[in-house]
Amino acid sequence: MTEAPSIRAVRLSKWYGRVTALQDVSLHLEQGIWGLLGPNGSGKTTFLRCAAGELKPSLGEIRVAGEKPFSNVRALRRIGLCPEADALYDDLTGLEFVSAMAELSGYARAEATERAAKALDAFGLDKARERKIGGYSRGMRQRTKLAQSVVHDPDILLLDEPLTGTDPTSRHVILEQIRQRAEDGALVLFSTHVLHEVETVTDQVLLIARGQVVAQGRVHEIRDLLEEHPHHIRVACDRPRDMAAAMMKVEGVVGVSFPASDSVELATRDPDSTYSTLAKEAVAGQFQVRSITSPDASLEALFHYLVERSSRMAGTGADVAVGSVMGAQYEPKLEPGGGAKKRKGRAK
Amino acid sequence: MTTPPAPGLAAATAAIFRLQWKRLVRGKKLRLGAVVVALVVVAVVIARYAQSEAVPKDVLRDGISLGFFTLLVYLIPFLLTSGAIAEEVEARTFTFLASRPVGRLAITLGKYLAGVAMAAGLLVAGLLVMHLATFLTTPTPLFEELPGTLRAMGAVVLLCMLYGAICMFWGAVATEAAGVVSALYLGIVEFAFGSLPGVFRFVSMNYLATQLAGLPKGGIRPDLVPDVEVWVPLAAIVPMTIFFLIVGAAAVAASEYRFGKA
Repeated sequence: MTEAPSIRAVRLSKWYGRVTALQDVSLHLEQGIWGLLGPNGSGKTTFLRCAAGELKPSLGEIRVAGEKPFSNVRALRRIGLCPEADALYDDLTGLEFVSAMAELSGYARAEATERAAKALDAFGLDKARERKIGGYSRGMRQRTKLAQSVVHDPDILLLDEPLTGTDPTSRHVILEQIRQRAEDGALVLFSTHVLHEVETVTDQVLLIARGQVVAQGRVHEIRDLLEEHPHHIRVACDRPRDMAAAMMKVEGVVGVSFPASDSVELATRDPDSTYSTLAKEAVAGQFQVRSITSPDASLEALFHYLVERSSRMAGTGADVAVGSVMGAQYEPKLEPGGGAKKRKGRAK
Repeated sequence: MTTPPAPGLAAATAAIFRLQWKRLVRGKKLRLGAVVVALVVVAVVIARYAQSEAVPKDVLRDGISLGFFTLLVYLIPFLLTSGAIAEEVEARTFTFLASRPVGRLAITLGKYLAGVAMAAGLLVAGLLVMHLATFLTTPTPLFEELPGTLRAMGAVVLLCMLYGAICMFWGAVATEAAGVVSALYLGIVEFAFGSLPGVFRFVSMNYLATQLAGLPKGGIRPDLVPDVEVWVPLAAIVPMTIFFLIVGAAAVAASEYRFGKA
């Protein structure tokens, strides 16, 4: 009997020489769409490559559909991988490339070609499939990689930054395909560093930073955390103290500071409202605003906040809202406060 | 979801072979190899017809010895097999193969067979054309000398298989310097040792292959090199080929080839 699609990691660590890419990651994913969210260099790609059977864990274990995936054909036949790198066989046509991948998945040549054509059509590449990949645009290349990842109808899809370099039309096509695959019973895990991309297809997310899963839950919970963690807006203008006084009245603004003589930095829990009011105040108060910047992209700031918080609270029992869930205590369902345990902190 | 069963070793190897063959046919290396083979053949044919006193049989033998056993039999398999794994790893396309349920042995074998078949095909075609062109005006030796040329072809194919396996092996274990390491190995162990006097020459499979082809010993003090029976080259080259293939395949199977970022 075929095991249901799943990915289970237990205390998974992976390091390259002295660089730790993943540390003590434990999780269990089942059918559905999962967003793997994290800043660049956080370990997303390493996790996906471990799940895709390209990398061996340095410590711990990862199982895909109950199998260790490294160089394991039983696991690999169920996996579809769309790697992040923009690397393809440029001297082949899209159809030749995807057909070859289908053949390598076990289809006879005629069926492989047929399936490849269908997969390329599904990603809107029907007119370009006879052209060499070297002449494709970035978005077309991305869709070709996605087509090869689904050509064998896998029930575990690992997509590494699948929306990178795509235009809105391509995004729509790709996200539709992701939804369709999940509806058909697949487990789709896709990585991104943009929260908005996740929200359009799922509300289940894993947040990964510095090689650790620092939070997991639903998107609205992440949003709540974002709101809980103040967002910073730096305004360079002619009268920063007057601007600070005006903005302190705004609901959501929780603090001000003056990083330089000609600028003010606002800390807010409601960035949208603050940006809106800021524009109005600038006009009303006749401020000469030179620039408005955010020193912390909010998500990046959240990752830092979560990593620091989890290491600060490790072992106190107070870090229940964040953190990957370990070994025996693991609960498959994602619930806020899902029982994080002590973890080696790597925060600075 | 209707995921098919994983392909068997033969089917997977054939699929990798076809993919690699197609890529080689469209790549620059095959064209470069064909040009070099053509240059050697043309040079020999010119040497044959430019000298009125030249003995066609001797010109052909020298052409085979110098052009093929000293140059092409190293260069062509090197061109077509040394990058088979290494270049895919560096280009980050290896991930497409490694994430398929084909097993890494099939990846190694398919790529090896495609590269060796193409290299052997080029060299055999070159030898055949050279033979025909050399004896074009003298039909009798065209047939009389054919067995000798066929022996040379057999020896060249054997060396192609061995050198292909050596290049695959180094490409698998030293992906970032596959070309350099393969060239060093072939240059030192095969070429340099093939010219040494005495039993040192037996280290070189190239030397043994020249004996299989019935070519003169050449090199430094050939009089000090013992003669070999015909079975000796076969008994040495075939196991060496299998050894390098097995170790290369094991390296591919065990390696993570991590060129990605954390």
